[in-house]
Amino acid sequence: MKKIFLILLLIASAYIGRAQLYTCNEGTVSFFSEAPLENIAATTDKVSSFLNTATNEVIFVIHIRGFTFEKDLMKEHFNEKYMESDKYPTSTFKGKINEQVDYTKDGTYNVTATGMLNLHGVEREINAAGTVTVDKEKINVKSDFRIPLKGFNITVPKLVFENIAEVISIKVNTNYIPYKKK
Amino acid sequence: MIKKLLAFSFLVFLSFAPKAQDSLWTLLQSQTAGENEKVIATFKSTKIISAQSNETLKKRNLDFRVAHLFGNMGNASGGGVHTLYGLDQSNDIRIAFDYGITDRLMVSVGRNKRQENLSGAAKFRVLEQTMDDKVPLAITIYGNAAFTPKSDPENIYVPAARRMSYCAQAILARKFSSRFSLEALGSFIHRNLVDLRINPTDKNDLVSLGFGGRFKFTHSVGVIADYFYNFRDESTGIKMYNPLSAGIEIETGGHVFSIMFTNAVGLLENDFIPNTPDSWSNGGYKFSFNISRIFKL
Repeated sequence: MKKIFLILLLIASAYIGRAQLYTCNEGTVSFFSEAPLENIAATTDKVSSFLNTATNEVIFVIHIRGFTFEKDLMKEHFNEKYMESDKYPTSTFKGKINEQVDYTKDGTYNVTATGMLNLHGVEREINAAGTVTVDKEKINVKSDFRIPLKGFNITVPKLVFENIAEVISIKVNTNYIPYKKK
Repeated sequence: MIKKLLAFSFLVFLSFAPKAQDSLWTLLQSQTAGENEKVIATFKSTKIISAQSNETLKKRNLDFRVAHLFGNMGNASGGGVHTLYGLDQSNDIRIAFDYGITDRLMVSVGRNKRQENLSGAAKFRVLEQTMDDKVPLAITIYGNAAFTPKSDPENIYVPAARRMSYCAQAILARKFSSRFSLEALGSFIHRNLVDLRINPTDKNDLVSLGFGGRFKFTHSVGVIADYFYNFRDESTGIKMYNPLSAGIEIETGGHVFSIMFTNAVGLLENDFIPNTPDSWSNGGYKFSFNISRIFKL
């Protein structure tokens, strides 16, 4: 009986040793618009995200105002005219990594994720490809995907059409550490 | 014992059972609880038309600005088809450099055609409106000093201090919605020299209350207007009017095109607030435009 108890305890402690809830401690989300007249790029490091390794669920919240641009005027137009960040201050993603990843084994895994992206008040399902890299207690997630502006109800006035691409590339690079309750 | 073990393992299982996504969600929401975001872009530019807005340039931005104020459009004030509605004439031209030292402090130097005024100015955001309305108003202060180097055969400008004029303004602005912004400006103008031959009761000091606003039809097109009410005795001499300006602004990526009309004759506060002899009702309105290019240094 005592043996069983000890084994159970061991299993339990092993469970505790491997956290399953990971929080993003540093990360960037950037986007890139390539157009004939002007390329526009912006990055934010104000990324909040959680990864649940038991369920493969991943969620993101990004503050639209946090994106920094090369020109201050671009940032103003981005917030005022396109993203309407006073009405829609955040963009969110709730999704799931489709492939099984062995989070106990170090290595880089090619994965895809499917989930709902909420941007500019419009929610749409997106698929994104990327990698998950496990390095002991740390997990890195990288992804590259493209979204159409029209699909998210973001309209570009005709006069500036040449300046902004219709499809925007988005890059995500986030590092996760085990989540500890404060 | 077995019962205890079962209970224990059940507890273990419970405490490590995968959490539902909704709780992940609430966890995340609690981490990203709103900050006191500042309201941006109450106006598109540092000026509405004639009036300063509450906006300043961002840090390390240099704005090269050429403002042009044409002649009167109406026949009754010397306009009409023979001057192509004032386009043949120019009342005032201002060439200026504005620079953002910090996100809240801006300085500028400029030269005007009228009075050949050379001026320096500073503008500072005292308070910025916040999204949560804890700060419901933006307050910006503005001050300038101008020196007129005009030739002086009649020795009017002796001593030389008479060449100076000043303007101080407090600007209270609020962005009511993404479409509608309004501001009120209190101005105090001091001119070291006033020409009593033009207006015998003119005073060196002038207090003026101004209003300015913007209403956007779309994200890119809006109407703008500003007005200055002057507190002074206008019973004698040449009648001076209160400057009223109205226009349309169209934003196209890097540029704001403004089509503006005003009865003001000048582009510098020290000059146009006290000296506006033209009136809208008498055809004394003029076309005005700006060329502005912002460089990030």
